[in-house]
Amino acid sequence: MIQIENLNFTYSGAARPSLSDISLHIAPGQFVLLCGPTGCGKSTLLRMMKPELTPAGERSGRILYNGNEIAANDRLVEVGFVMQNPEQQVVTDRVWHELAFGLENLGVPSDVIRRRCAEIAAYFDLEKSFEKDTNALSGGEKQQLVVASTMIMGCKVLLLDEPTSQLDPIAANRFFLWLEQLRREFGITIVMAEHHLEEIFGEADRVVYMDNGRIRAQGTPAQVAWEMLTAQDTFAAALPTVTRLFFDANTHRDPFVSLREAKGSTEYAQLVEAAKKRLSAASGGAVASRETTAKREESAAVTLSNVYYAYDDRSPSVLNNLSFSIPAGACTAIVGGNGSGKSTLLKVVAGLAPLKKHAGKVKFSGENRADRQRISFLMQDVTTLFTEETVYEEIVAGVKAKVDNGGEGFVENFLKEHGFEALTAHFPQHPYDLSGGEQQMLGLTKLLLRDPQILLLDEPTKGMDAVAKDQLAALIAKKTKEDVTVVLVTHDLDFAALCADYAAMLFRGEILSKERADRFFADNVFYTTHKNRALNA
Amino acid sequence: MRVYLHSRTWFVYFIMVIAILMSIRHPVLILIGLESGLLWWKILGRKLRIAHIFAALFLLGALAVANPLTSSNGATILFYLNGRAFTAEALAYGLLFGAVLVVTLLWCVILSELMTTDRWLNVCGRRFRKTGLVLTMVFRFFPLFTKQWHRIREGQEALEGGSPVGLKATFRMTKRELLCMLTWSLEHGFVTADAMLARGYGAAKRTFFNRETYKAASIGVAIALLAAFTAVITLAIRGGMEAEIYPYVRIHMDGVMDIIGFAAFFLLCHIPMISGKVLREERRMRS
Repeated sequence: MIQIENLNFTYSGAARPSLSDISLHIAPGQFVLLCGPTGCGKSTLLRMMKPELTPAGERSGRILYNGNEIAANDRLVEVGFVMQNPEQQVVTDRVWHELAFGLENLGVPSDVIRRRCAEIAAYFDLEKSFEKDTNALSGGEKQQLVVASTMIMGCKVLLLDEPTSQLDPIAANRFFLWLEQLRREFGITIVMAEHHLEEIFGEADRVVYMDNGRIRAQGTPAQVAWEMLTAQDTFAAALPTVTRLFFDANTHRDPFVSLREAKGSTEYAQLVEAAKKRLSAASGGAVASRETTAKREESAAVTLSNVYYAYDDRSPSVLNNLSFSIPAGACTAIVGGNGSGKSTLLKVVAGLAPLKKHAGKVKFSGENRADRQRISFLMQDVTTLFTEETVYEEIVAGVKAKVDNGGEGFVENFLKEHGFEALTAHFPQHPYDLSGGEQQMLGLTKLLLRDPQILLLDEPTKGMDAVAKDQLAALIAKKTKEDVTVVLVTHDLDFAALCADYAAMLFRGEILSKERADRFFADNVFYTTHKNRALNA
Repeated sequence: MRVYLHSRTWFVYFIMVIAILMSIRHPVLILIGLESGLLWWKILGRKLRIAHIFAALFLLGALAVANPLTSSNGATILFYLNGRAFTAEALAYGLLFGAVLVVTLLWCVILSELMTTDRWLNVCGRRFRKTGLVLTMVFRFFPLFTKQWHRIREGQEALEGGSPVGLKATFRMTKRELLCMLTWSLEHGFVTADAMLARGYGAAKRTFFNRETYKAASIGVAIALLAAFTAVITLAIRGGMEAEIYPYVRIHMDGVMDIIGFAAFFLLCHIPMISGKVLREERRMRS
């Protein structure tokens, strides 16, 4: 269907090529997964296959669609393109109009549009939201709408550029399942760039692993996983938990790419034993440090008692008689479904959602009392913090005195100390030109420069690849050692298990349980980490 | 069967009612306008709050007092203020003017509620399809813009530990927020432009997709509305429903022409409310 031959591409003005010597064959009906670290060229490669969106630059090599070569300013309606942020891709204000938009562009007559809209709305189950304002949809629903309004134009190939990076993991999984159904029923060809591989890796027909603008490996998921694991690539950390957990370099067996496959294996019981042994050997130190933090359970940094909160008089309360204490100098993860009130809870603690007289109390202990300066809150949309033209100015903004007093190389040292030295290379760039993970790093740097005593993080791993997540976990561990209280709200249970000392579950505006994180995740059956799922025989 | 009125029928309805209220300033017409406006208010499920009534009374009172202070027309002098005559007629004129304003505002609220964004689009129609596209994008962008601004304010407050204190700090914060919004809008614009290109924007001459067709009910209602409107206007031109203020207040309301005019206006205001099916459709759209 799509054939790429010896493609090279350099952005105009760039010194290095973004794509070098790419050759790829995509057969009809295939699901091809492009993966690789941030900046490896996967988005650029996708844009090469959609001529309307091909960036300006120098190109050599050929791209063929159904045997015909495509040039940079061709129009290829049969190839659909879906980007990261659903919010920015929705053009119109009504669901029905969004569906009709593409057909209007093609000059399709009104009667035909009417029929196709009805057809697609019925198939995609959009009948109920047909008249709705697009602003009223959730992120996942918006992304589905974008795909539906691309499909309505009769596209045969769907190119998706990290379509779930702005969604929480639950919505992301739902989106993947839905896409899989689409593929099964219509035989549509899908090419997806993604760095979150946990759920999707095993589903692909073909995986293309890219690094530095080149294809490092391609083949079935098991083949690519084998190459990544044996080469001990840093990006191998992004592979599904089950693949990494049961991989043993000594046996020349294909790695498992899904939990179903692993559980179906005759050696499953032995594999679990071996994995458990390896894990306990590796985590001896971590358990000991958890014990020490557990001793400090008595001192609470923040205590919330009987808190009720509603955004206005007409809407139901989001927090319901919530009483909860946040342990000082530890990381507490708050997990729970969508709309359970997690972000609201953080806003209440940060003082952004002031409580009315009768709606409970938030008490800060000891030196934190009423010292609002020392609470820092990293919100979900980190770009709301960015006001400057370059990354360096952004870091320095608001803390100029501190940076000047710190002397030469203060910022560089600060970044190095916190494991963010990757930002140093981006100093002259605009903050919006950073990748999702790097933007989170920049936001965190801004907060950390203000020496917070309480650090509130709302979905900090959104858009981060596996390497960046590990860095963030290390940073949280470092901060809690320095007696900073960290509250982490997340859907990413693996991440929560990795760095939290305590975990609490928020359900319908109430905290149902607060326990030590290891116990919490070991006890839960459904709401648990991929690791626990793989190891519970 | 689903019965709905065409967007243009709705649009014309509001234009006619507001035009009559503003051009023929007659107390009885204003009362009819008030009654039907409040009825819509209730049908649309809005609550009447004390604050609304106070706001209306304040507007009415302010205009009633302001007019005689600036105008000394009228024959009945109540008293002199700084050497100027304060007349009962000027007071009545102010009251009437205030009442027209309050009722017109009420109807504007109802207009904004009933004229949903897609209705505005259909009013623009095939002939103004570019305007229509710009309009729908504005309708989409505006709430997004306010939401983002709110988020940015929260983000900045979370960073700085609270809202700014003092004029200078507020100014600086607002400047930062504006810069942030500017970058965000540009970025948003670029991505949206790409998304539009990806979905074939500019590939061919755009068609205008209109989900509405003129149904018999819609045409019937439109004819009835037009008939009622013509009756009111014709009667007014021929001297019916007259409300003279200066030099003496003289309000005509018992002639045959007056009574027919009031009835016609009453019908005009109430026709779209008569059909339960139309109202059900409105509620369904809003649910």
